[in-house]
This record gives sequence, C-alpha cells and structure tokens, in this order.
Amino acid sequence: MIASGVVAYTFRWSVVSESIGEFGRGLLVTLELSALSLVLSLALGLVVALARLSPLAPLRLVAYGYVQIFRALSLYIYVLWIYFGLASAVGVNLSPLAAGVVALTALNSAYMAEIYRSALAAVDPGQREAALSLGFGRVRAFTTVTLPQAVRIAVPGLVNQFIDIVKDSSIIAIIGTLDLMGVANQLVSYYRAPFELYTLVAAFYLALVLSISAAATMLERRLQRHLA
Amino acid sequence: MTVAYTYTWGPVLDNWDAFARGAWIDVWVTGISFLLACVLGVAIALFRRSGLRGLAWPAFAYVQLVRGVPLLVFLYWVYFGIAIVIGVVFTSVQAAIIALTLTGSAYTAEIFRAALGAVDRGHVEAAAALGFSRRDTFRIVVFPQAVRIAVPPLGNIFIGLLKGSTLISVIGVPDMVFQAQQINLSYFTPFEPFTAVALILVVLVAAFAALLTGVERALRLP
Amino acid sequence: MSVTELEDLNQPEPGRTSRGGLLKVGGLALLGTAGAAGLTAGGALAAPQVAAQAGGSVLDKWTRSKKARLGVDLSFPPLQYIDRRTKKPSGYMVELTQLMMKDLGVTPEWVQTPFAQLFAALAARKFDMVGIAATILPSRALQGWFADVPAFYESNVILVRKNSRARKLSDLQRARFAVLQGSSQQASGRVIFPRATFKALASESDAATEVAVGRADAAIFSEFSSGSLLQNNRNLRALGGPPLFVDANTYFMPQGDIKLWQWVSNWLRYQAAHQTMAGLWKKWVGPSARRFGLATSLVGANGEQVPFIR
Repeated sequence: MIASGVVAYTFRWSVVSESIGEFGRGLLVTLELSALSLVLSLALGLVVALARLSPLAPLRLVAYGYVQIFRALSLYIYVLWIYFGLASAVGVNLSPLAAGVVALTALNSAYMAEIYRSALAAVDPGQREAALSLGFGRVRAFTTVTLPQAVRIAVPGLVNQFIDIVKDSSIIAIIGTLDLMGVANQLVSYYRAPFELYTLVAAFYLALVLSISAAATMLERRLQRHLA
Repeated sequence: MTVAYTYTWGPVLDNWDAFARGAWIDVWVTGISFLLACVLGVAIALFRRSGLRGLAWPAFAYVQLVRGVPLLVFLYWVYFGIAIVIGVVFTSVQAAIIALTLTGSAYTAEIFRAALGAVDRGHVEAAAALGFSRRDTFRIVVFPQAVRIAVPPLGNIFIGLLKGSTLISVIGVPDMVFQAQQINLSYFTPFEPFTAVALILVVLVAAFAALLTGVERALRLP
Repeated sequence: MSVTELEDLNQPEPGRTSRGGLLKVGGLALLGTAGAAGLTAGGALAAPQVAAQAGGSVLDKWTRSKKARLGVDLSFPPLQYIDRRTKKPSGYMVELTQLMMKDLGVTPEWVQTPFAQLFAALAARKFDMVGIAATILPSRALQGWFADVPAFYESNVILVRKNSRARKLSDLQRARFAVLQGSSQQASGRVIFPRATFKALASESDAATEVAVGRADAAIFSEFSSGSLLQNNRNLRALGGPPLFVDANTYFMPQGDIKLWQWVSNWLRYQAAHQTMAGLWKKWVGPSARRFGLATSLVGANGEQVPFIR
C-alpha cells in the first residue's frame, strides 16, 4: 500500500449529466434482463424443487444433477459457454440478451430450487395430513395448503436471490449487452472518466436493490398480516 | 458461410503451471477474504443485536449498502476509487481481498445474526441460573452453538466468494481467469482456456464441498 | 480445382475427409492432414473443427443477401466508437469498413462484442466477419487469416504523469509500466524493458488511471488511444521521440475462406495505392497526433509504413 501525494486525476462530473440518457436505456436493459430471469427462475426453481421431492428416483436424480451443475460454476463462465459454446457446438445461436437470461435463469433456478425445497420441508406435515383427512385430494392439499405456506417461508430467500440476479446481471456485459454495466464500459472508453461513471453505475444498482428490499419488506408484512 | 475453429490445446497445456499459480491465487485470496468476512460479519451481527440504536442502525445500513453494489463495481471502486479520492494506493491483490471481504461480510453478518437468534433462549437462562457472567454465557454457551448453526450457510458463502474471485482479474490480479484471457488474446482461442478455468473451478468447489461435509460431521453434536 | 476443394484442403477434418477427395487432390491434402496430425502429436488434442462449408464463401453470402453482419468493439476512439451526437458507429475503421461494404453493394449491420470475445463470437457465428482490425501477431495467425495488407500502422508511445522526471527511454528502464492485457504493448514492452515491471489491465482507461494514481510510472499505448487519453486527462503527457515500436493491424478472418481473404486483401491493396487509408488516418488520427506531438505512420502506396509525424 502506498499513501501517495502523486494522484493526478481531475474529476469531470459533467460527463455524468451528459450520459444520463444512455444510462436510462442501460437501466431498461438491466431491468429486462433481471425481470425475465426472475420470472423464469421462480417457475423453473419450483419445478426442480418438486422433482427433487418426487417419489420417482430418476426424476430426483435429474433434479439433483441440475442443482449441482448450475451451482458449481460462476456466471462469468456460464455466460461465455451459453453464448459462444452453444452456438459453435450445437448451432443454438442466442442474442446476447437471450443468452444472459438463459444463464441467469439456469444459475438462479438452481439456488431457488434449494430455497423452495427447504421451505416445503419446513411446512408442518400435520397440515397436509389434516387436509387429506378432510377429504382433500393430494394435489389439492399441496396447492391449497402446503404450497402457499412454503412460498411464504421462501419469500425472504427468494428476494435475496432476486437481488443477486440484479447484481449479477452486470456480468452479462462481457458478451456485449448494453445494460448499465455495458453502457458504463462504453462511456468510460469514450470519456476516459472511469471514477465518475462507475460511481454513477454503482448508484443505479444501489437504488435498484434498495427499492427491491423495500418492496420485499412490504410484501412480507402483507403476507404476515394475511397469516395472522 | 465458412467458420473454422480449430481446437488448439497447446497454449493451455504449455501454460499449465501459470493456470496452477493463478488458481492458487484465487484460493488464497478467497480464503483470507472469507476469514476476514467472518470476523467482520460477527462484529456486525453483534452490533445489530446489541439493542443500541447507535450501533444497530449503522450496521443495518452497512449491510444494505454493501449488498446493493455488484462485486465488479466494488472491485473498481476499491482499486481505482480509493486511490483517486483519498490517495491510498492498494495493490490489486489487496484491493481484491478488501472488495471480497466487504461483499462477503454483508452476507456473513446476516448468517451470524440468524444463527445467534436461533440459539435456544433456555440455554442462556440456564447459564445465567448457573451463575455464568453475560460474557461467559456468550463465549461458552451461545457462540459455539451459533457457529455450528452457521457452518452450512457459511460454506455457501465461501463457494460464492470463490466464484466471485473469477472477477478479480479486471483489476489486474494474475489469477486463473487472467491467464485464460492472456491465452485468448494472444492466440484468439477462447474456448480452451475458459474450459480449463471451468474444470479447475469444478474441482475446487467439489473439494471444498467435501471438506465442508467433513467439518459439519465433526461439529455434529454427539 | 474448385474453391470448395481448396477450402477442404485448409480445413483438414479428421474422419471426415473422404478417401476420394484425398486421392483427387493428392499430396496437398496429405500435407494438410499431416499438419493436423502434427498438432495432435505436439501435445495438442485435435477436436472436431467448427466448420460450415455448405454456404460457400462469406463473400457470396453477402452479395446474395446484400447484408453483412460485422462484429465490432466500439470502445476504441477514434478508430471505432459511438459518435455522441449521431449515436452511430463512427471512426477510422468504421469508415474504412463502410467503404468496403459500399464497394460490395452490401449494408453493414454492426454486432457489438467486447474485443476479448470477438474471436469466440466469430467462431460461434454471431457475425460474418470482424469489422475492425486486430494487431497481426504470429500467435493469432495460428487460428485465422490476417488480410495481406495492413489496414493501419499502430505507433506505440509512452505516456507518463505530467510532473514525471522521465525524459527519455533510459529513464524508464526499471519503471513500473501499465499496459492493456493481451496487447502487443504488453508483449513487446517486456522485450524492450526487460528490467521493468508490467501490470496488465482490462482496459486502456484503467491503464491510464494506473499512471494517474501513481501505481505505475508509465503506460504504453497506441498513438490513437494516447490522443484520446491525453485529451481527457490533462495530468498525463507523452514522453515524446520516435515510436517505441510499430505494429501492423488488419482484418482477421476465419481460416479456409480463400475467396473472402483474397478479396479483402486485394481491396486493401487497391485502397493503399489510392492513398485511401493514408487520407482517412490523417482525418481521424492526424489532428490529435499533431496536437500532442505523437509519432504516427500512414499506410503507403504499396502497403508499407510511411512515417507521417516523427
């Protein structure tokens, strides 16, 4: 570490106001990436969790493999593989945005599957038995009794996962998406003002994440009230 | 149309020692960051549970702020931002450790907070009844139990940080991704070096997961 | 011999080269296969190639569809970047490529991809050709074909802090250098300053910041990036003097498409004789090179390097 008096960097905060329009468009791309990935991984995660709890051994095995594979590597590597590897190996040619959504969904659905699974396990089995003894079918007992309670238990974990999706979406810029991070990289090369522009991009992500946290707190309160 | 991609493993195989050195950097940078994040996380968790608003609120704000910023941005900030604003110039490895520690601490703090909360109140009361001081109650009764509860989620944080370390090459740390990028840019062969990185990462994560299972088993109550 | 057969020659596909083909083209094909076998023997695992011969040359595809998808990294002003006013790709290489496309009667479509991923994207068929130039490196030429004539010469210069005491190269023998990762500056810098230390960073802006904050004493950049960096960072200056070294840069194409390679090379040779590249370089790089006293070179009538500002 050097504490130096030789730092020679001139701040140019004017570049921030000049590029705010581009960042607005970048924000839309980040939102699109994150929202699509959230919806898809919420659904896929539940399917995988159910498969892991299924009585059929092959199904359990596939689901277990899915979770292990997609939790094993970093998004950085997966994005490169899905965007370039799939195209050159099997000719599936996705746009950068689509490849980003696929990568974020694959990774996060694996994590969400584990969150759902532990939430489903945390629901008192007596509830299900009570429903069955009241003459509910197995499917109905699951959809009306077990699942709603499990979802309520899973909400905080799922919200954290959504926050990770938003932040991790910054990595997709390596394949050329013009999301917040991609816009920042491009403008840095034009204005050569990295500090100002990366600070701005940090502020955007922070604002996004804090809004999600606030919305989640409200949602959790609602669910609690409903429960009481 | 004509696209030819010839798989050329030569550069990767010729540079296996550079990959090994790079992977080792990822491992020890992650290890140090994880330990520091645990220490910082315990402190923040205690602040949040202190009941004192002057401590709890800043700790809460810290967690929110740190969790709100992507690691990629954090790395830039610590490495370039701190140097620009206050003139403290870290090496890239120092900056990587700081960024990973800060990011990790926001998560470890939440884990320790939940774990401390999960320790049975009855144990605290029993310790008090046995004449333990508050400090001893925490040190001997509460903390060891909390650590046991916290181990599995902490293991996930370690793996998360290890994966996060694949980003530290953006500030010039010569880790395994840096080596891969070096080969990619010198030979225009992207797939081989990044496949090598993926394989190394899979092995590291599997090895750590096995280690973690061992630790969990050792910590299990008899 | 048809073009298709020639392409087959250059893409030896173990297991797919038909016996008849081998007999027909004789020794040449054997040479090609021997080349592939040599790779395998040399410790490399030869995997199946990603090759699509069915559509023929990219050139034919362009003239048929009147559209060309070109991969570009638009973060290198003034060579290739997004113009702030028009919001369109602009710069020296963009204008040169546009001229080429105009001669073919083809509309370019720009596909933005970071430089480090450009070749992966080309192999994955995200676009037909890389629309910007890359430094001709022997190591890169193992994986693809560079056109036979340079699109521009890149003169590399040293930037230091304004208050630096360094005046000449010998002052920097043990200096700490910042360079762009994977660049020829990184490779050649080490050779020129064997006793110096080198820090490789992900972008040129980062390498410049490295000098600005004092973590590095100097950075090596191309003269065109230096112009843009000096314009935006008044705390840096060029060391001055002749260029440290000069690199040739040109279009990079997949191996095997002889028709495309021939055409692009010939097009560049024609434009070199007509001083097209020299004129464009004076327009895009000349002003800032003159303003900051940076050495720069033009592409001469025969493709040779012609010093412009010494």
